[in-house]
Amino acid sequence: MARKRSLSTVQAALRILAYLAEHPEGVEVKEVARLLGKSLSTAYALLNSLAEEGFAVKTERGYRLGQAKPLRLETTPLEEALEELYLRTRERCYLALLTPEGIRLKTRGRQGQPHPLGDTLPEEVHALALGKVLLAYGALSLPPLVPRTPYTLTDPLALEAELTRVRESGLAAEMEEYAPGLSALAAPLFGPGGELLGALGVVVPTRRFPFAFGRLARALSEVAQVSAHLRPPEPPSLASPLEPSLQVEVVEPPCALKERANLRDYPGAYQASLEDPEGFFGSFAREFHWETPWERVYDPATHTWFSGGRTNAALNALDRHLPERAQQVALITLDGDGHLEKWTYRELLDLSSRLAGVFQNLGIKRGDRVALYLPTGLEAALSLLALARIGAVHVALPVGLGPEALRERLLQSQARLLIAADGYFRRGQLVPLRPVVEAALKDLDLPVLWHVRGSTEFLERASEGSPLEAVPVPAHHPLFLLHTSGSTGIPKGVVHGHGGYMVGVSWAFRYLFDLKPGEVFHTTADLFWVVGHSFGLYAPLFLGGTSLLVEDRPDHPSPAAFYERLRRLGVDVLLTSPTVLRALRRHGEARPTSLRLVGSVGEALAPEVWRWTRENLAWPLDNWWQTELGAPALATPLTLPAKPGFVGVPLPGVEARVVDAEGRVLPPGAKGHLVLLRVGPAHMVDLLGGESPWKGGLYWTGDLATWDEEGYFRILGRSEEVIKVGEARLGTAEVEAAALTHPQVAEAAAIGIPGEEGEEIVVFAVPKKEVPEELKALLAEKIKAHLLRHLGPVPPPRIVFVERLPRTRSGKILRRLLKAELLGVDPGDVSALEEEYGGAKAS
Amino acid sequence: MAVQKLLKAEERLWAPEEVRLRANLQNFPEEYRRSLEDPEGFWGEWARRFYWEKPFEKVLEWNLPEHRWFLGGTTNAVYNALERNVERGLRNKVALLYLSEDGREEKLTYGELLDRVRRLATGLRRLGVEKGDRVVIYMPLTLEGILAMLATAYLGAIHSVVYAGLGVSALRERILDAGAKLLIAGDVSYRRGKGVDLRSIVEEAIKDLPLKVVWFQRAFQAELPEGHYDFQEILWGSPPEARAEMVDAEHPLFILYTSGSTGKPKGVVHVHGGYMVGTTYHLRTFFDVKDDDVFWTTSDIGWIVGHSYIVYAPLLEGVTSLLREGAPDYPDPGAFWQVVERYRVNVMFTAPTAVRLFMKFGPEWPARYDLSSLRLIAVAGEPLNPEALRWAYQHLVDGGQRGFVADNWWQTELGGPTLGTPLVLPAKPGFAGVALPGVEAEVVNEEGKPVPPGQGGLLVLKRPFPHMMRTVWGNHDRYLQYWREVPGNVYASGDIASKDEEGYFSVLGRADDVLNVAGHRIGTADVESALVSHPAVAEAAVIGVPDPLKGEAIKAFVVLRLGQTPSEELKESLIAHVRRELGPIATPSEIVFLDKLPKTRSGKILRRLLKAQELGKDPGDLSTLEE
Repeated sequence: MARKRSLSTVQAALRILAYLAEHPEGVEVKEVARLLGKSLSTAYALLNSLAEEGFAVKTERGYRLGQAKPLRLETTPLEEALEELYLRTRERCYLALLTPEGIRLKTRGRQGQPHPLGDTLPEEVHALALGKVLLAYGALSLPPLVPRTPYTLTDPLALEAELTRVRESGLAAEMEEYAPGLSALAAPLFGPGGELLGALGVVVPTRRFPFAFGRLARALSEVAQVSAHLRPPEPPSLASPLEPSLQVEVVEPPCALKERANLRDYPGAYQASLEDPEGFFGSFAREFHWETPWERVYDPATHTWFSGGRTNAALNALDRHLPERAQQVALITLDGDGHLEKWTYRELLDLSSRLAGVFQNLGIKRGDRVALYLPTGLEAALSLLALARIGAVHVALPVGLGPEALRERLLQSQARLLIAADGYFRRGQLVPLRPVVEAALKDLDLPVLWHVRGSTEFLERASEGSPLEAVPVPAHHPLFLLHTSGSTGIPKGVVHGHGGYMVGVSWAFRYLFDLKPGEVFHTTADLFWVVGHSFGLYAPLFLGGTSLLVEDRPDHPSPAAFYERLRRLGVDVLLTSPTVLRALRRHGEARPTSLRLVGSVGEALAPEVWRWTRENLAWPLDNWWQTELGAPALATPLTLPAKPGFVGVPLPGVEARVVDAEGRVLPPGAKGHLVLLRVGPAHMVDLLGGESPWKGGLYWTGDLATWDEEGYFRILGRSEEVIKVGEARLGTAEVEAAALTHPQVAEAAAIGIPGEEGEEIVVFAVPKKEVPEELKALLAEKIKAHLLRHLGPVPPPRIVFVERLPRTRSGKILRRLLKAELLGVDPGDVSALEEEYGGAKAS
Repeated sequence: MAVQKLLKAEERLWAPEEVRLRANLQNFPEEYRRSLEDPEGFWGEWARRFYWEKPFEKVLEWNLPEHRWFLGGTTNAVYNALERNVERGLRNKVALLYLSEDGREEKLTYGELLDRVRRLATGLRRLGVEKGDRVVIYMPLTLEGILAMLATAYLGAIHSVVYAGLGVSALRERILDAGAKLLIAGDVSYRRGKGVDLRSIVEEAIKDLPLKVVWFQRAFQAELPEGHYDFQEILWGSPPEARAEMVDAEHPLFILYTSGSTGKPKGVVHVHGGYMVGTTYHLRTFFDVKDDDVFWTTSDIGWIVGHSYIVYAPLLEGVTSLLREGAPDYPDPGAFWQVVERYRVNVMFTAPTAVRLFMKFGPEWPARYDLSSLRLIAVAGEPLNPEALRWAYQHLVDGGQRGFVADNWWQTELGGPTLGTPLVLPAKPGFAGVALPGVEAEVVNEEGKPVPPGQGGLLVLKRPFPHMMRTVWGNHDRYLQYWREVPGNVYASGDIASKDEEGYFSVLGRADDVLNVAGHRIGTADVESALVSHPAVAEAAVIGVPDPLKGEAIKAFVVLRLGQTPSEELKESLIAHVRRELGPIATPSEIVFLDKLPKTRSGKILRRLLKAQELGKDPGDLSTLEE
C-alpha cells in the first residue's frame, strides 16, 4: 500500500484508449505522456503499438481512436471489480473469469501476501472458495475429489450440502484453502442478464479470518452487486474521469521521522482497526480511566462508541496525571498583551475544579449548556475543563462574532450562562467585546460571567470556589457543542461526547501527530474551533502532553516573532492551516525552529505550499477532517510517502470512497463526492439544527475528491464550490492550487460566475509583491496562460488582483462573499468573516 | 551548662504518622549503621543513580586530612541535572519556579533550562571561558543567576558566587583570591520594592582589574565599555551548541567564600562528583522530597544553602525548586504563606531568623492561608531556639497534625545537612538532632577527648563524606588547619556543642571570633578592619550581642583618631562605610565610642571582656589584661 505501484502496460494502454475515445478531435503525444505520468518516449512506444494493432490511428494532430475493437475491453468492468475489492479490503483478491477459452484467473494484492496460484485454476478447484462458487452455479463439472488439506471436503454429499449453502447465501467460505492457515471468501459475479460471468474471491490468513469475516463479506457482496454497473451508463457527473492537471510527486518522509514514528505499521493498524475495533481501539481506550467499562467498543449500525462505558473527559485530562505530572507544564499561554505563562497539571486541576464549584454555585448542572465568548487563553481552557468536570456542555463561540450571530447561536444552543471576555487582542490591539455581548443579550435573561481583561478577577473568582470531583458520565454524554464554521451558510450545532471523542483525538495525537512524551505541541487554531478543542486543549491533556496556546495571530507582530517563539519554547509539532502557511510563505524564508512536523488542516494544502513547508519548516502532515468528525479522518501518516496535493489515506477506523451523485463507487482517478463508510471514535454524538450527513449508510462529506490506485485521496473543494465550465467540472481548490503554482501568486480564490458556456472562472489572486498598475494586465495574462496550461482545455479564466481574501475566522475562504461582491448581490450571513477584510478591490 | 537547664529534656515533638509512614527513609538507625560500616557500598550505590561518562573505579580514598571520592570516574553535575532529566522524560516539568520581587512568576522547564544553559555556555566559551577557569557571579536571586552558575559548571569552569549583598572590598577580595577571568554581575537587586544599586559597587570593586564583565541589566541598558557584555545578548545571541564538559569526579565545581576569624575569607572548594552524590542523598532522605513535590529553599544563591538546595540537589533529582527574590515580610507578613498556598509548597527550607520574624508577627498571618500542602519545614543556619521550634511546630504544621519541623546543622564546608532531626525521629527543642548518615560527630575537649553527655565542648567530625570540601582555594594549609586544630585527625567545625545520651546534639555557638548574624557567618576581623579603614577610626573591636530576630547583632567599639570627636553623624558615616565595604548584612547595629580598648599585654583585643561587660556576666580570667 505504501509503495507506489507503476502502471502496467495493459492498464496504460486501456487508459490511452479511454482517453482517445473521449477526444475524437485527436490527442497529442505529450498529452498522453502527462496523462500517464510517463516519458514522451514511453508514450510514443505505447501509441505506436496501439496503432499497429489498429486500435489507434495517427493523424496530423496526434492520434485518434482506431476502428479495431479491443476484445478485452469488454471485461474491463470486471477487472475494475477486482481493483475495487482490493482497494476495499487490502487483501489478496482473485477474479475468476469465464471466457470462451476457459476460466482465466486474475489476482491483485499487496506484496508479501501469498500468491501460489497460476493463471489457471488448479485441479483441486473444489478446495477453493472461488471454486465452490463456480461449482455451485454450474460453471464447472464436479472434478475428482482430491483432498488438498485435511479439511478439504471429499465426501460428495457433504460437498453438495455446502454448495447449497453457497447458493442460498451467495457467498462461499473456506476455512483452510489449498494450504492450512489460509481462509477465503468468494461470491459470484452475474451479468446484466443474470448470467454467471465469474467469481470474485479474497484470501486472508486464517487467524484473522473470524475478525475479517464481516468486513470481507460486506465488501464482496457490495462489489459483486455493483460490478456490472461499475462503468456508469452515462458519462459521470464530473467530466473527465482522469485528472490531467496534477503532476503527482511522491516524496519519502525523512528516515529519522519514519524510524521513530509512534505508528510504525500503518497498514497493519488500519486493517486491525476495521477488522477488530474491539481489540484495536479497546486496548488504546484502556489507557484512560473509566468509571464503568464499556460493553461494546463500536456499533457499526449507529456509529456509537464505547456504549455502556462511563468516564469524564476532564478527569482524564487532569486528575489522571496526578501526582506523577503535578509539576509538569500542561499549558503555555501567551496572551495578546505578550504575557507568557506556564501552567502545571496541578495548577490546572486545582483551578478548574474550583471553577467547577463556582459554576455549581451559579446553578449549572450536568447537561446544562454554557456558552463561552472567550479568546484563546487560560480562562477559556479552565472554563472548558471545569464545565466538562461537572458534566455540563460547553458551547464555545468564536470571538469577533457579531451581535446578531452571537444572539442566534445563544438562542439555538439554549445556553444557561455566558462566560464572556470584555475584550480580545487582534494584532496587538485590544478590541472591546462588551458592546457586542450587551447588544446580543438585549432582552435576553441570560447571566454573564465576565472575564475582565487586564485584571486577575476571573482567576481570583475561580480560586474561591470549593473544588469539585469530576462527575462520571456515559461515554456519549455531551461534552461540547460547536457550530460548524459558516463558509456554506446556516451554522449547525455539532455535539461531541466524552468517551469516543477522548479516544479518537488522543489516538490521532499520538499516532498521527506523533507526539512523544516531553514534547511541546502548538496549534495556531483558536481554542473556540474544533481544532483548538481537540488539539489545542483536549488531546494534549488526555495524553499528559504540553500545549502552547496563543491568543493573537501567529504572525503578529511579525513572522520572525512566530519563529522565535517556536524556537524559544522548543515547539516540536505544529498544527496549522494552509492560510497560515501561505501567509508565512508570503514573507519569504523561514527562520530555523525546532519543529519536527507541521500538520495542516482546514482546506486543501496546495503542492506549492506543501513544498515550501517542507523546505522551510518541517515535514508537512496534511490531514482532512470536519467538525463532525472531531479528529483527522484522512491523512498521510509519517511512514507513508507523501504525495503533495493528496491529503492521504483513510486513518484507522475510517473507510472512505469517491462516489458519483447516486452513491456508486467511482474508480481511481475519477472525480466525485467524498463519502465515508465508517468513521472513527471521535465522531459526533448528535447534531442540532441541520441535516444529518449520513444518507443511505454513507457519510456525505460535502467535499469533492479523487483517489488514486494506492488509495490516496485528493480533496478538490466543497461540492457546492464546483465551477461548471462547458462540460468540465472544476473544484475551486484545484483551480486555486494551479494558480498558486505561479511564482507571483501568494494566495488565490476561485469562483464561477454565470457566463457564456455555463460558468466563467474568476480567480482572485493576491500577488506576492505589490504589482504596479501598468503591469497588472500583463501579469494577469501570464497567470491566465499558466492556468490554462494546468487546467487543460477550458475557456480562459478572469484574473482579479486583490490585497487580501475574505476568510472566515477559521481560515476558510468566503467565496460566497467574493461572488456576491463581483455580481453586486447580497452576500447573506457573513458573521463568520474575519474582521480585517475590507472588501476586494477589483482591478 | 546553663542553656541545658532551659531545655525540657523530656519534650518530644513527633512528625504525624502518615508523614512518617511515607518517609523516603524509613529505617534511620539501620541506614546510619550501614553508612558507617560500609561507606563504599553506601555512597557507591547512591552515586550509581547518576550518569558517569567513565564509571568510577573506587568509591573513596582516605588519607586524612585528604579524602577523594569516586576515583577514576568522569561526570558533570550539570549534565546530570539537565540532560539526564530531560532524557528521562522531564523536559516539560517545571525545574525552577521563580517569583520576582514584584510578584511576577516565571517557570522554567528542564527542557528550557537545558537550552538556555547550552546557549549561555556557548556564549561564555566565546568569551574565552574554559575548563578550570574561575567565573565570579555577583547576581541577585534570579533565574539568570542560576543560569550563570550552571553554564559555568557545564563548561567545567568553576563558579564563585558572591552574595549580592556583600560590599566593594568583599567582592574585590574574592575576585582577586579566585583569580577570576570573568565576572557575571547584576546591575540591581530588589528588596522591599526598592532597587539596590549593584552597578556602582561592581565598578568600584573591579577598578583596574583586567576582567571581562557580563552584565545582567534589569534597571536600564547601559552603554557598555569594551570587554563588557550584555547578559541577554550573550544568552540569546548564542546557539545552544555547547555540550557538557565531562570532568574528573574530583574536578572543582565551585568555590564559595566563607568568613573565618583571621580576616581573610576562605574559598571553600566543592567538586562535581561527591557534591552531586551527597547533597542529593540528603534531599531525598533528610528533606524527604518526593518526585512531584514543590521544594522551596528561602535562601539565596550567594550561600551554600542556595547552592545545594535551590540549585544543585533539586535539579539533580528532577524536582521543582521554588525561588523567591525579596524579603519574607514584604509586601506583608503573610507573603511567605501566600506563596505556600499558591504553589502548594510541600517542603520548605528556611532559617531560624525567618522563623523568629514570623513569631514576631504572630500566628494570625500563617492562619490566613491554606498551608495544607506543607509537610516539612527544615531550618538551618544558626541554632534554632526552643521557643521558635515550638512556635513553628504549633503554627506552621498544625502542632504536628500535618507536618514536621526539622532542625539541622551544617556549614559551607560541609555542603549538606550534617546533624539534623530526620522526620522518623522526634524533635527535641534546643537540639539540632543526631548525626546523619555518613557523619561521625563527637563533642570533645581541647585535647580531643570526648566529653561526657550534657557537657559542652568542641564539635568535631571524625570522618569525611562525599560532599565535604576538598580544599581552601589557593591555601591548602588553611584546609589542613581544619583537621589539625583539635588532636586526633578530626575536622574542627569551630562550633561549640553538647550531646545527650540519645546522641542528639545541641549546637551552642561559635568557638572563635566569628559572628552568626541571621545565619550568615561574619568574621569580627572583617568588620574591624572595615571600621579601621575609615579615616576617623584609630582602633575598633567588634562583638556579637544576642538579638531576638537575627540571633546575633554586631556591636562595634571604636577608638577615634586624635582630633575626631564622637557624634551621631560620625556613627552614621561609620555604619554607611561598613555597609559599603562589606554589605548590609555586616552592618553594625550599634557603635560605641571608647577612649581605649581592653587589650592583652601582647596587644590582642580582649573581646571576651567587652562581651562580658555588655551582657553583665563574669568576664572570667582577666589575667592577661593590660593594666
